[in-house]
Amino acid sequence: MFKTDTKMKESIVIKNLGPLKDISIEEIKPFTVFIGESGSGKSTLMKVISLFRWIYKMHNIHSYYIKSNVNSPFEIDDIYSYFENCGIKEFIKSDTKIIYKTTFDNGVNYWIQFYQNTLNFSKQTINASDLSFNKISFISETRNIIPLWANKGATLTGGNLGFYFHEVFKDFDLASDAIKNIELKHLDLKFSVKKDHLGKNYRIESKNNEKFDIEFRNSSSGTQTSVPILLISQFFAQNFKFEDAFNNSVLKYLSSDNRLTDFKAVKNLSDIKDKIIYIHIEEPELSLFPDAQCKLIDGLIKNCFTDNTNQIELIVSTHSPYIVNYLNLLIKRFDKNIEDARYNYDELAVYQVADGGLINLMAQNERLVNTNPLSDTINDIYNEYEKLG
Amino acid sequence: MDSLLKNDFTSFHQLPISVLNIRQNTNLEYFELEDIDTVLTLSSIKDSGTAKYANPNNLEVTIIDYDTFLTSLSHRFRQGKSRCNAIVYTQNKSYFLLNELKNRKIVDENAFEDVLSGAISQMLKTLKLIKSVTSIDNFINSFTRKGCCYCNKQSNNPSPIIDAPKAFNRLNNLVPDGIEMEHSEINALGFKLFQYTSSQTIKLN
Repeated sequence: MFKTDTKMKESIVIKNLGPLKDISIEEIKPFTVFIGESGSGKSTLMKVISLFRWIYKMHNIHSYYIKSNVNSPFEIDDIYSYFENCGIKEFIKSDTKIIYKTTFDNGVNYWIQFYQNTLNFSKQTINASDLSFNKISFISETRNIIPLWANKGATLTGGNLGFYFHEVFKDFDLASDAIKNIELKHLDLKFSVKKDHLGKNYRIESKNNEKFDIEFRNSSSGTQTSVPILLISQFFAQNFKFEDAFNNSVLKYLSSDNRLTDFKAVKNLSDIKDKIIYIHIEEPELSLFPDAQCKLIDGLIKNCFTDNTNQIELIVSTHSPYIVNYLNLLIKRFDKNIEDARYNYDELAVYQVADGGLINLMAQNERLVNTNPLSDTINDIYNEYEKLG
Repeated sequence: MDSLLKNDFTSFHQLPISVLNIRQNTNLEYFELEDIDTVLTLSSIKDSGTAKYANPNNLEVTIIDYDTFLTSLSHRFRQGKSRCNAIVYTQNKSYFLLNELKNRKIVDENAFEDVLSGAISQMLKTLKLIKSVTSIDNFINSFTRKGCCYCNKQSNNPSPIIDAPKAFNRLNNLVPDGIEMEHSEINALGFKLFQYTSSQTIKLN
C-alpha cells in the first residue's frame, strides 16, 4: 500500500453558485462522500472541486516552467469556457465566490479565487518546495454510454456527448490500453480487453459454471456502469506512470517550442513529493443490486487505498443508503485490523448537501457515519403505512 | 426561563407581555416528549413520544413549549422566524437543551427544507434569537452542558415478515446516547449538536 506522505491540505469555499449557497470544507479528506437529494448540488460541488484542482495543476506546471528558467505565460484566458464545460456557467452570478486553497505544513498557502467574474491567484508562482504534479479523473454518470461509444466510435467520430463523457471515455481508453482483464468480484464476472483488426474488443465473461462470453455492450446495465469505475481506478492506482504524463505534458511542450535548451529543471519529478491522483465518481451504485454495490465499494477501496502504488484521493457522490451504511463496516474492519477492504475513520468525510449547505455526517462521539438521513424515507413509508391502520 | 421569555424577550422586541402557560416541571426518572395536536405533551409511558429522556438522579427538569410561545406572538414578529419545539433545562444548572421533534408539524415558512438540515436550522435560529436578549444569554451561560437535540422517531415493522425499518435503524443501537454531530455555528455558541432516533435517549445524569 502506498503510504500517504502529502504535506498539502486542500480546502474549498463556495458561495452562491446555483443550488450551493454556503459551502465550506476546511480540509478535503482522502476519501470524501457527498449524499443529498437530486438537485441538491452534489455533482456541482464535485465538478467545482475537480475544476479548481485542474486549475491548480496548471498553476503548478506554469510555476515549474518559471522556476526552471522557461518563460511561459500562464493564462486561464476564458474561465467561463471551463464553467461551460462543467455545466455550471448558468449558475454563475455577480456574487458567486469560489475559493480553493492549499496549505502546507510550513504554513504557506496558495489560493485561487473566483469572485466578481474574475479569477485571481494568491501568488504568481508556487515555491519550488511546494510544487505538486497531479492527475484529475472524473468518472461521470454518463459512463454507461462507454460500451456503445467504444463500439460505434469510428462511425460517431466528431459527435459530442459532453465534456465529462469524453473525459471518462479518454480515461477508460487509456486504462484499457494498460490492463487486459479485471475481475468483477461484485458480479462474479470478468472483463477483458482483446485486440483484433478493428481495434479493442471489450468482453464480459462468466466465472461460474454457466459459461458465457459476450460483448461488453450487451452485458447488464450494472456491469456497464461499474466496469469503468474498477478499470479506471485500478489503472490510476497501479499502472499510471507520472513520468509518462510529465513527459507528455511538460517536456513535450518545451521540445515542441525548442525551449529545452533554456530548461534547467528546478526539480526532478522524483523530488516532487506531492504526486496525487484525484478521482471523482458520480453515483457508483448505478444499476446495481444492493449487495453488488457494497462489493463494488470493496473493489474500489482496495484499488485506491490498499493495492495502490500511486497516491489516490477519492470523492464520490451517492444516493445509496447501502454504500453509506457500508462505510461503517469498512471503518469497523479498520479498527479491528481485519484483512479485508477497510477504511480509516480519520481519513473519511461524509457530507449531506442540503439547502445550499453541508451537514457533516461523521459522528463526533463514535467512529461512525450518521446514516440516518438515508433512513428517513423508510421510516416515513412505514409511519404512513401504520397511519392507514 | 419562562418568565425571561414572557417578559424580557417580549420587552426586548417591543411586544406585549405574554401570559401563556408554557412551562411544565418534572423530576421523573424517565419521560418522553411528544407533540399532540400542537401541544407539547410530557409522558412517562415508554415509546409514547419522539424525545426520550432519562433522569436517573430525579433532577428537577423544566420544559418550555417554545413553539407555542413563539406562535402566540404577533404574526409580523414571528414571520420568517424558525423555531424549535422545546427548551429543556435542569434547575441545578447542569443541562440546557433545545429540542426539535421531527413529528411535530412544521409551522414555519421553511417547510420544504431537507428534514435534518431544517431541524438543525430551526435550533440554530432559535439559539441566535433567544441569545440576543442579554438576560437570557446570561441565564444560558450559567449552565454546564448545553446542547441542541434533534429527535426522530423510528417506525415499527409493519409485519413480522418485513424487517426494513428495524434493519435501516440498526445503526442507532450502536450509539445509545445519540449521535454527536459537528456544526461550526452551533459549536461556536457553546452548544453541542446531537441526533436521537428510536431508543436513543437524552441522559440527564
